[in-house]
Amino acid sequence: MVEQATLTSDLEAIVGTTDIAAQDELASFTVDGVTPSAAVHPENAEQVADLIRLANDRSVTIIPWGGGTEMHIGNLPSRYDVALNTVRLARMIEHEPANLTATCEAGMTIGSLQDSLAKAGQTAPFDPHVPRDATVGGLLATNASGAARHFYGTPRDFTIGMRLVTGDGLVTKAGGKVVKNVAGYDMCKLYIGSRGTLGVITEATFKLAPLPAASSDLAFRSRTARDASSFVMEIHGRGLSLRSVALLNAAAADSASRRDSKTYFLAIQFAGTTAGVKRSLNEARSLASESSLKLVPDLDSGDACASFFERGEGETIVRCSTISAETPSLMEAIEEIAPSAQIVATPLAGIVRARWTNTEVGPDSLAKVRECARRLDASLLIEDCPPDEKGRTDVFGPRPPSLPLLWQMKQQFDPGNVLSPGRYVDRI
Amino acid sequence: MAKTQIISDLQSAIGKKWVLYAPEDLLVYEYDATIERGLPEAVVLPNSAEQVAASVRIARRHNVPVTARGAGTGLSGGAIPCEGGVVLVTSRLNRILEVDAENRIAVVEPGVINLDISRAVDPHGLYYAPDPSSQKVCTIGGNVAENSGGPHCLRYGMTTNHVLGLEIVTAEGEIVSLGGKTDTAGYDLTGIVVGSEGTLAIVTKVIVRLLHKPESTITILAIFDEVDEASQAASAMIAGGVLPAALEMMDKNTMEAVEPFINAGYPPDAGAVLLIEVEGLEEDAREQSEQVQAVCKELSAREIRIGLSPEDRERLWAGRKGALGALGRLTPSYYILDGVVPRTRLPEVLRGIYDACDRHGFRVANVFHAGDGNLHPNVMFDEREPGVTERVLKLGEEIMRLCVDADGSITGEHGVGSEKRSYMSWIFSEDDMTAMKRLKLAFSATDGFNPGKVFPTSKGCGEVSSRMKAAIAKVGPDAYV
Amino acid sequence: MPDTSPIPIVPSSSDLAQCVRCGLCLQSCPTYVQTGLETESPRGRLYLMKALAEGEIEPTANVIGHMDQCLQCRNCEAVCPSGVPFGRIMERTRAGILEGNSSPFSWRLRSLFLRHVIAQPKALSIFAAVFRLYGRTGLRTLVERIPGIGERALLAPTMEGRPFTKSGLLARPDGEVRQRVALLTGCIMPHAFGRVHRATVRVLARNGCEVEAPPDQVCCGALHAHNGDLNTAMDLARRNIDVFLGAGVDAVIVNSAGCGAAMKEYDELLAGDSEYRDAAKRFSTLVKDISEFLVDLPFKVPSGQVQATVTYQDSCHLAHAQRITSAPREILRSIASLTLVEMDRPDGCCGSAGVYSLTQPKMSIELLDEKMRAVSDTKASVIATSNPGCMSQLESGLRRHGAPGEVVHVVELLDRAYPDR
Repeated sequence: MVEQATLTSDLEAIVGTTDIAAQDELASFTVDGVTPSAAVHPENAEQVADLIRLANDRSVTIIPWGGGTEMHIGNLPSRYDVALNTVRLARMIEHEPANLTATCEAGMTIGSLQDSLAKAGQTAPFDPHVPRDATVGGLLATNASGAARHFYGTPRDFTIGMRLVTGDGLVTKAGGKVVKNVAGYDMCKLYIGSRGTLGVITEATFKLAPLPAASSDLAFRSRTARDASSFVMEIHGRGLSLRSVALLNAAAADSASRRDSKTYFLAIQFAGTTAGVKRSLNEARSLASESSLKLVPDLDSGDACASFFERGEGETIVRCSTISAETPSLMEAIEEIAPSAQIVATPLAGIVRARWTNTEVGPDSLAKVRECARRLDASLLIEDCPPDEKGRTDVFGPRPPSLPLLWQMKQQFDPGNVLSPGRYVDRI
Repeated sequence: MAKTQIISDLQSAIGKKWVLYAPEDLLVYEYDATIERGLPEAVVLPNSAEQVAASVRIARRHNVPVTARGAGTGLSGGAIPCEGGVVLVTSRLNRILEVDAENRIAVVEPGVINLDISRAVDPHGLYYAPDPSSQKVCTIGGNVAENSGGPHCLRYGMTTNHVLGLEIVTAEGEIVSLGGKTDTAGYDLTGIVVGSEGTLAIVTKVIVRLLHKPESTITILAIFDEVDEASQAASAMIAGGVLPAALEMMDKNTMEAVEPFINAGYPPDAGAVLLIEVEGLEEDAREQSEQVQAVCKELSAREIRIGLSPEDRERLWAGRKGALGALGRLTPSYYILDGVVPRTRLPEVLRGIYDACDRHGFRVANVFHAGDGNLHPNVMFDEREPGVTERVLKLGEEIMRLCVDADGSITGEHGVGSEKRSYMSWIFSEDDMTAMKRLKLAFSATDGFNPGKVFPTSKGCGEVSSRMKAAIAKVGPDAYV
Repeated sequence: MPDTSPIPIVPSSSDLAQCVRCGLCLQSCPTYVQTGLETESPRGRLYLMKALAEGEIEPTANVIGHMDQCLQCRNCEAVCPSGVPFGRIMERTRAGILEGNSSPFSWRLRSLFLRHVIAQPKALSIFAAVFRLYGRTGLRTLVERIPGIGERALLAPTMEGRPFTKSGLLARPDGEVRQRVALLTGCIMPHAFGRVHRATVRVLARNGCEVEAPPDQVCCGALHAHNGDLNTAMDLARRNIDVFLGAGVDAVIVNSAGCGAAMKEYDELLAGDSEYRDAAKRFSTLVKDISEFLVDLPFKVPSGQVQATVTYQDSCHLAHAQRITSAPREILRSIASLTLVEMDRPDGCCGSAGVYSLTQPKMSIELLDEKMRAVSDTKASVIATSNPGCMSQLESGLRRHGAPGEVVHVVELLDRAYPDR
């Protein structure tokens, strides 16, 4: 273990006395029950590099920390000494509305980024329903997506440049500021989704999109997941202005007090040109009237779409990825195993996210859901579960065939194993 | 050539018929669509991932590099075996293995022709979006290696945005699958291999995403008296938040070359045209088309042609996509660049390019993806003129400088190859490139795949400019599509 | 720039420099698509031909093999953005090889046959009579069943039906004479497909043309040029120019796409011949393919009908060398009750390619099989085309696959659609 007093003074030497968290604040940086010995708030990439070099010299481990909204995802840290909080790396570096690009620091919250871009009528195409206090760095580290994934893709699809400090303190740039660029390896792809195990993201550049001129919500009830899913596929196939889709099971709909405990609840959001949205609404309504779906009047579907990111204490949360057509079967199968599970899915991207309170389901529910996902060729990530379960299982699921390459990558970028050790696939 | 041990090993692995080693046969694998040259020692045409893996293992055992080759239409020398060795051609790996229309996914082998995917899924109302100008002949494997773009990338993104997973053969000769139809755990190795210019792995299978064909497509040809007006219009469209599906520009010199080939109706007396496509729902396309027309009028477009028939549309695109080949009609040689600049800087950089060409005394034809800020200046020259090659290369460097100084990049879609390796340091620091080298090391400690590409420090085709000088002098005109 | 050397037996350096290696030709090349080999692609062959011309490589058996595999269908030429005259380069390269010391025995043999049989009407008549007997006696059916030999024999030309032996004035229209035209009777066509000539003459007469066949005309020389015997080709060209210009007609009508293409290019062939250069230019402008000529007239829309589903095979030298693709289709569409169903890649070579089917039977059959698959997908009962070589090849395809249906020239269908023929 690192000696506390000297660690603090070394950290202070880098970031100054004010940018280090007080002891009583450390609990808020707890990861999977492990509370760090220190939390620092560097204010530039050089300080991040210094901190990482220090960690290598002193065998200290670091977990990068953004908004903390997704810190529950990952295997148990094998060690966790310092939280590297990006709260002070929160500046907008450059927004060029006329070029439809923006560069900001990693600690900027998505809320303030979008507010700032909105002034120019633009948006960074992250999922519109991610929590406002999630940070840009965090969203890139997790490659987070939700109900609008079929439309915007994931952050890997619109991030054109990054700065990242590697696990041995190299301050590196990847990509650039232009929307099309094949100079050298596409390093952004490596870093996005690497969950803080290869480096600390300090800055990113995005392609922006104009804010849609119009948007409008529709909500439906459906007796089966399959009917709702087919309806969505049809709407998408017609090219209607579908921006977000969330299909909730009855339990999830109940919890969001959309009371009607026997049916699935489908929330869709259209966005685009005024004429396009108008036609989309009309066609969707008339299509629904020919199907078994029932329109739910006057409902904002935004909170339903946000349920891809909701969580509660004492819960197990799994996120499955399957092919579009299998989405309803997977939903139904999970319901059968864990009837109280709240499930939200987006049939177009094939994502099914289920959460249940640990005390309300059988002890082997998780294992059964995993087995069921495997049977349906779906991949499954355990976002959250009781810590002892995390000790027994790899939350990322079975080892991927590329595992040796993943370890090689870790070895190359974080040779001292100081960044988020143990948290990634195969406990990298 | 004597039949060496490696030849007989390769023959026993993949069959006599599919190993070439006669000097005349090797000769036609020394080129691609660039001016680069490199003669292989053997050419193999495997028919399965296992045969690819076996070939790689044999080459490794004999300590010679392997360079993968699709159709050889690349524009950065990606398929040129700079250091000899084995060229591995994917043309027999050309099966479309699976079309899953419901889930909008296709699984194909690397030798499948880009356009053949769209042809195969067309009955389902689907298509494969990335459309490099060579899409009628280029292979998906090559597209993956170079992360190919195309006119419609403006709206739909590059190859990397449409590849869900890969099967690769590693430098050790192992078959590994990366990514897949669903999200998979681990670093995004698929995203890394796409665009790695064949230096990390050989791709043996590609899982691609398909899109629904748009309900409505409107093609607009906006004709301008001056290049400057056209480039300002392109910038203004982006700034106004209008994102067409494609926004292409061709200048006067380009149109002069294209018209005799295709009779597309490009006005050869105009300064420049913008070829614009908007698509989506009828309502959306119509609204976008009005916005586009308004911008063009604002910037004094001489004429705006709209309501074009499908045949007109096809001809205009054939002209656009064959434009660079057609330049062969105007000049014995030309040298193309592939710079990118922020869209706001387009007019000034373009002015800079014309100025520089004037100053150096060269004609230039510009035909490019204006909507992405991806410039393709083609410098026309006659290699028989003494000393001209040095001057062209100097001019090329000056143009690349203009792009980099405008916060741009040295390549937008063609790749670095060996030609542009020396420019890498203009946009990346030592540390940036160290990170890239580490990534390469993670894949293999040896330089077994396509050596001499991407990194300035690798040995390989030799000093870039002297190699190019010799090549230009020897072979004459160059082609880029 | 026209080549001004008297006997152009090497490709000009400016022709060779035209290729910028963009590769846009690759998928249009039947042999590249079939083999996946760059050596069997237009770009690869051009590179080899350039290396040959510059003396970098020798015409080894290997190199000659790659040249031999080329169909000379000129599909590459039609799609080439930089306008590489591939056909011309290939002919001159072959000429160079044939003239050189290392010309292969088979090439010399072939050229002797072409010169002394195909270009000699009397010899050809005897040859054709033998073939006719071969077909009629049922010997052909027998031979094609012999394993090993059958495949090779399959592609021998069909010589059935009544030969076309007339010359001089062939027909006068009933009413006013709109045009006076001369018909190229050609070498193989009158023996193999006399019925096409008869249909052509009837259709022309019905459309107000007075048709004659100048008696002293000779073979067009296309086969000779394709195989590198440019001297014979030029000889034949000069004789035809004299004969046809002497006839003082408004147009020279050709119903064989290969012959038409060659005759339209007499001006190129004789560009180095100061005596014939101007006459050749004049002559070439007179040459019209039958479909092209009829559509330009324009032809009378037939009042009868042809009840059939038809698919049209573009003859390479009509589509790629003469760039005529819409005229034959326009004729077919004018016929009532006829349904035209396009096959996949209708302009892909069927593998006939002059004497190619005899010299390269393996590749020829591979291409034919592809073609028959495409035809079968259309469910058409009639394959229409514009060249005797294609007709013969496609007939072989029908026999090989035991498929019903018939192969006709486009003009035959139009002829059938005119009542009271």
